[in-house]
Amino acid sequence: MKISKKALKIAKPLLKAAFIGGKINEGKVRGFLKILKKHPSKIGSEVVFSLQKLIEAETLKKQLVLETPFPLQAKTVDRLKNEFEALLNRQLTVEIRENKELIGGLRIKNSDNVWENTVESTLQQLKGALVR
Amino acid sequence: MSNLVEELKKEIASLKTAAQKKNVGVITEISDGVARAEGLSEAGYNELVSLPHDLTGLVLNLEEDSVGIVVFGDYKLLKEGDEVTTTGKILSIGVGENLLGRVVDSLGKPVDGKGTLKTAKDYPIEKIAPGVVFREPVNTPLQTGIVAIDTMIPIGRGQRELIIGDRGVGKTAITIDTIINQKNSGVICIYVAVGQKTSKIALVADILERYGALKHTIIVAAPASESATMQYLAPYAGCAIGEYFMDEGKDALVIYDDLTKHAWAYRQLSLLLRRPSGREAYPGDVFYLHSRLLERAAKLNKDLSGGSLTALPIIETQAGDLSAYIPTNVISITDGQIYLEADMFNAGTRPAINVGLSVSRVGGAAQRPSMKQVAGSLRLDLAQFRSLEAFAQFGSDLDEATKKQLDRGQRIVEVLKQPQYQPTEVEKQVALIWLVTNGHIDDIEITNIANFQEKFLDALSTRGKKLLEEIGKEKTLTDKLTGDLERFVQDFKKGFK
Repeated sequence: MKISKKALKIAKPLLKAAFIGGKINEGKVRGFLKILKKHPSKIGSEVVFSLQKLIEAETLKKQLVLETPFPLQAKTVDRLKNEFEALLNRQLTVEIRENKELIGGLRIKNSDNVWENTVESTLQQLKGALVR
Repeated sequence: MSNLVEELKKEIASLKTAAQKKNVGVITEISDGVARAEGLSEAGYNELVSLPHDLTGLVLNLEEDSVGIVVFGDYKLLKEGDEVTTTGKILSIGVGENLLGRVVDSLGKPVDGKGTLKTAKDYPIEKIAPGVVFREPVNTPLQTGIVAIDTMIPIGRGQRELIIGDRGVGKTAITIDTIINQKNSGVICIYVAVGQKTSKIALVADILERYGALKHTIIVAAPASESATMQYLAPYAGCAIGEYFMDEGKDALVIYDDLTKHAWAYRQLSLLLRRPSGREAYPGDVFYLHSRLLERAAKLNKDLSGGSLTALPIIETQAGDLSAYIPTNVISITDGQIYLEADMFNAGTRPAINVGLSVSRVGGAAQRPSMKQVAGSLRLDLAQFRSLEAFAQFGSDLDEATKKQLDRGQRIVEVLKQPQYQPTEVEKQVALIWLVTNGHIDDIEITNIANFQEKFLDALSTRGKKLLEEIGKEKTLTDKLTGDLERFVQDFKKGFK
């Protein structure tokens, strides 16, 4: 669905209002949706869609995804969480994903930023250098 | 084999791999070579992005919630959900002497089947034009070899002179003659073909090869079969190649054939990127599209390199309409225009230059003094002839002075006619114009002038070689030189039948 600028303009303050104490308040969001449902319109559905996208983006900002081919020790996970919380200056929730394609190393994702030090990426860099 | 292994080992050893920080996004939409991606919050304008299947793209739209990317290569391989990664690089093209004699695409890849290319440096395709302090005024002529241009609409090195006219009136022919004429001048030529038929580009390359001009020429080809992205990039790529030679202290000439099609390609891209459209559906920044390109033509001062980049953009008009959007834009950007008229072309006046509507705003300062001396009144004579010619059509009786003026005008027009691929050296041009403006061919039949001219120029190349050398050496036509010329003409006329 294409989101108009007008819908985005409405959705942004709704998102701001939905946050209480740095956390999203589900009740508030449900309240907004109820109001929008009462007055069905094209712009209304655009606002809902836009709000959903904004909430997803906000959630991803507060999420740290650790991708690794092997399970990580709890100590390492804690250390990484603390380091990234300090770096990004916000509270993070950690999600660990196992990905054998990485062969070795670690890939860390937060929102649209990726920090990567894996065997797979090294091989890709090597391939790039040789092809060039 | 062991050598290869050693080389690979060396390559691997020199490779620095470290933890990388990347900014990624996902494709949400893809159509007609344009992708829209979400994420990529750190992408910059004009930044290269890496796409799956070894494809690359260029960020052209930065919006609140998404990024518009134009894709190089086969965009059909991409799909929704594919990952896009920023590279931190801007689009650049390989430049260097090795490009001479080659045909390359908008990204610098050879398309002439003459093998791979090793370039000296990478130059950014988009660059800010040199500022005022880095430039000096246009002061050296760029001889096109076309008598009508070199005499009345002179072009200087570092100038931007527009060639404008309807389709099929000889716009490309003028630029090809100009390239051919640079054979021994040291000027490197870059011919940028945008949205042309591939057969036409092949023909241009063939003509240049035949006349020995491909050696000092680089062709950047973005034919009509290429994507709008490649057509949009081609002029900037050609300009970057020219800038390399300019920075090396050389003189370069870049021909954009043509900017009308370039504007069309940009309009297509802009509409696909959903930018708001304005007049004739062009985006609001279509003026900047051409001004930032043509501003890069410059004559650098001696402290830098002293090199120059001359630009000859071409614009195709529809039914001679000079007041259309793109023509008026480019006319206002350039330092003058050469207007080619379809009626004149069809009447057999070739090159079909309408002197009244053509102008060179800065080239006069670069014109050779001897040329200025002989051709100073030519423009006025021709303009007077054109107005008298219109009156004479009514068939009323004309006085002797008017008849003389008409006769002279007709002879000037005849002398300015020039066959294709036969540029004339500047010394010969000086002699020729001196001949006509001083009435030395007033007694020659109009129908015989072309023959007279050809034989006279032949005689100058053989018997008058010394005279030509002296014209070339002397800044102005001295009394002695004029006397010598007078004697030479009298001698020649005796033998001319």
